[in-house]
Amino acid sequence: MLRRASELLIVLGVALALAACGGGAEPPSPSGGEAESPPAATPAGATISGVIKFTGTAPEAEPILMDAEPICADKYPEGAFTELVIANSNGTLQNVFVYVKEGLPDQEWPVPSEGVLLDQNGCRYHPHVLGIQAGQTLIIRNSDGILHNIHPMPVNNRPFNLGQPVVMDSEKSFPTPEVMIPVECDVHDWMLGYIGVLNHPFFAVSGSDGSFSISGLPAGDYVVEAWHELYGTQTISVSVAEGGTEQIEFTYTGS
Amino acid sequence: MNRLPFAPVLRRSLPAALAGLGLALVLSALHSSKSPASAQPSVDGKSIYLERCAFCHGENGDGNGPVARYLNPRPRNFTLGQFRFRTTASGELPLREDVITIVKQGVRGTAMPRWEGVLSEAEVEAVVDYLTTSFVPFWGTYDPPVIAIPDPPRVTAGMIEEGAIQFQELQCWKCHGEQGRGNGSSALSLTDETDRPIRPADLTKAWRYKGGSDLVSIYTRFSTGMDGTPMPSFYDVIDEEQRWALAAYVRSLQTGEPSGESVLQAAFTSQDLPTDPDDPLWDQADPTSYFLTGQVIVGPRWQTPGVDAVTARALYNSTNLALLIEWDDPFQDTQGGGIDVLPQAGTYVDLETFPQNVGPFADGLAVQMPAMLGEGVAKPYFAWGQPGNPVNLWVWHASDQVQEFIGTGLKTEPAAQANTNVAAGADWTDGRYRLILTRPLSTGDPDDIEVKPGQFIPIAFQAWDGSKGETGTRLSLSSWNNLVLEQPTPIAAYLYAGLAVLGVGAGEWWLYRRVRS
Ligand code: HEC
Ligand code: HEC
Repeated sequence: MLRRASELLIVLGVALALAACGGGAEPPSPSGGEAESPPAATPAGATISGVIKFTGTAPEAEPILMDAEPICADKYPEGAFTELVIANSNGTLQNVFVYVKEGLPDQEWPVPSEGVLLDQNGCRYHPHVLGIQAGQTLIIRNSDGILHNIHPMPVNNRPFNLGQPVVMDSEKSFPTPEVMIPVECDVHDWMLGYIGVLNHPFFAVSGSDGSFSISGLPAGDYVVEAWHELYGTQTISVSVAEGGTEQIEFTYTGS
Repeated sequence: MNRLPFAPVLRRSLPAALAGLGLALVLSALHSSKSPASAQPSVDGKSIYLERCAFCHGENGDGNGPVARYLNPRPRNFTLGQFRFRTTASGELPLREDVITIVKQGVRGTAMPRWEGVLSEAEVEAVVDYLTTSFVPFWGTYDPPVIAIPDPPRVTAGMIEEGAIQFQELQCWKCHGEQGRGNGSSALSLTDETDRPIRPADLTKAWRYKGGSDLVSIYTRFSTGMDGTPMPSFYDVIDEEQRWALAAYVRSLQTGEPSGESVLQAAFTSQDLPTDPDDPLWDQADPTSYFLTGQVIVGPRWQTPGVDAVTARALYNSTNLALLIEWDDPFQDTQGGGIDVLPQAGTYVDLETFPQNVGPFADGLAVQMPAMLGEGVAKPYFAWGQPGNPVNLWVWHASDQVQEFIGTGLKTEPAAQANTNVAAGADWTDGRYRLILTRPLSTGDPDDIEVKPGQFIPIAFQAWDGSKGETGTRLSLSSWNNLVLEQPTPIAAYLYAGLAVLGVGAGEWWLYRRVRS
């Protein structure tokens, strides 16, 4: 509780600051930065890439009982399983959110006008873990055509809880950086996803080969953090030269 | 007298034992805080908060006041900034007026008292300003978008029909159940913003609506959603006409509040008594509904009962009496035999330490009558009788057993009678039990009460909801009412009316005393 309270104070500070610069509310349009014409972006910036290694054994994925929703159950002829830990066959880990935590120059990064898609398909979130910029449009799609309620539970942002009873899209955005926001559907208690919100574009999610790549960075000294929903966070400090590429490697250990 | 303002509150809150508990706590706080009624009211929001709200909501507004662990739902944690009763879009802060409104009206069926008439308008505003600016994150940092609610149209049959279609298409039933009894397929897995279990509203019980059972309140709830709960906003997916239709349909699901009529009239039939709840013969018997409250007489006191009302009908013929008893229970629990691990404490059940997975306990219902009836015999104590003045208990459990017991008070386990002369048949469909209990009018068993036409036979009801962890003295109970096997004499009508009035008075007096003590 105490931790919460102090966090909230910080949040309040951030929110006040945001309000002061005119982007406080939560309008459908992206906040602040976008209006400024695309700045000297990053055509030939530096790149940090690498791989999330995984050693040890992952907890066994548990079967999900989807009998109540045949439309979803039918999408998994082999049965559906939880996505808590997805270890790849090449000894790497999927669904790790990797982002630049510290070291970026104090500037505003343009918010892409294109939205990011969060698709509810087969009573699951696709992707399971996604990154988005603060103020960028989150397109929430219901591909199943049965009732989902999209219910993110942020601390630094306002929550929302929208019923989507048919195939449809809704659009929302988060004005304040927050790593990570859990997303749930109360109708289907197994549905769980995570959204990382940053005020810059330097993030990635490890894929089915465990690799990630963050590009377009200015030269600098950075702290890069990796986040996994079960195994938590790790950081690595790394310096990149103008236009250069650095390889880093995180290692998570199962039981 | 600072107790007076509670009279109206008390009457409104009769159904809910937990509201009673809340009031009891408030009352004791009032007693201890010796606030002089005549002195000029303080409008210092902070001191009002500390005096009136903090023992539930916590000094820091974190919902962790000293009594919070006894309450379900828990007092709101204001530091999470999620409000149920708003006129703003999903996830947004409420307006100042929204908070003022809910503080004045209280949250029905919960411990959150109604403060209108207790605090002055200025005091309510002061305390609301204090709690919002001190505890609520984001407060005052932006203008939350409002959902405008136009004047409601006149409800037509066509609207209700259209609303029924909306209820289907929007799939409200996945949480609320086909009939709105809170028993949808997703109902058992729902949690609130603090990760505690929460149940969907039983939309059929007008008296259980937390935010008001009228058309506009219903429209508001599903348009704004109830932040901090699984209840989503559906504002964007239907238009205004469809919203009013849906509200009208939800409203049409509501059944009336038990009226306080205390006499259950058994109608005479010359036919065999029905064993099927759908038998049209039951139409000849007037249904009468009774409120049940949590058992808060002996420890551990149970302030969060599952079943809060039963509806009964009675028929008799020359040899037998049959009762048809109906009550809502969203989940059927037929498996009994769970070991009760709860320590016997003299206090309320501490919900923080109450084990989540006690049981399994079977659902159950008991009908209670005095074991002896006659001139000069006083009515036994309404809760399982007392030593020297026992009651008959017809106890049915969903494991489909019925057994007769002799009760001599809550402190002793009821003793099974040597013979059980009651027969039972039950049915549970879509969140509702229908139980038929049949017994010969006269059994010849010296333990049994004899039921004679024309007599006023005290009758009371008790219920257990297994999945709510109820067993033994963790149950809900009604006060005494009367069963009368109707004889078509005109004088009876007057008697019933008189008795009904008396019955209500007594019931209220009892609760009032409980709340005050
Ligand atoms: C006896 C305990 C108790 C007391 C005293 C009490 N509350 Fe509450 N309050 C509750 C509970 C329990 C809830 C949650 C009800 C629910 O979740 O359905 C609540 C909810 C609220 C809410 C939330 C409404 C919403 O929209 O979500 C507000 C605001 C509130 N109380 C204000 C107050 C104020 C102001 C006072 C003092 C003047 C006060 N309460 C005193 C128990 C209490
Ligand atoms: C994901 C589950 C879920 C769905 C779907 C859902 N509800 Fe609810 N609803 C709830 C829960 C849980 C509550 C109780 C919240 C509380 O007690 O604080 C609730 C409460 C309500 C209330 C408030 C009653 C009161 O106490 O004032 C109304 C009205 C309501 N729902 C109507 C609807 C309608 C109409 C729909 C469909 C359009 C719907 N609900 C869909 C879960 C749901």
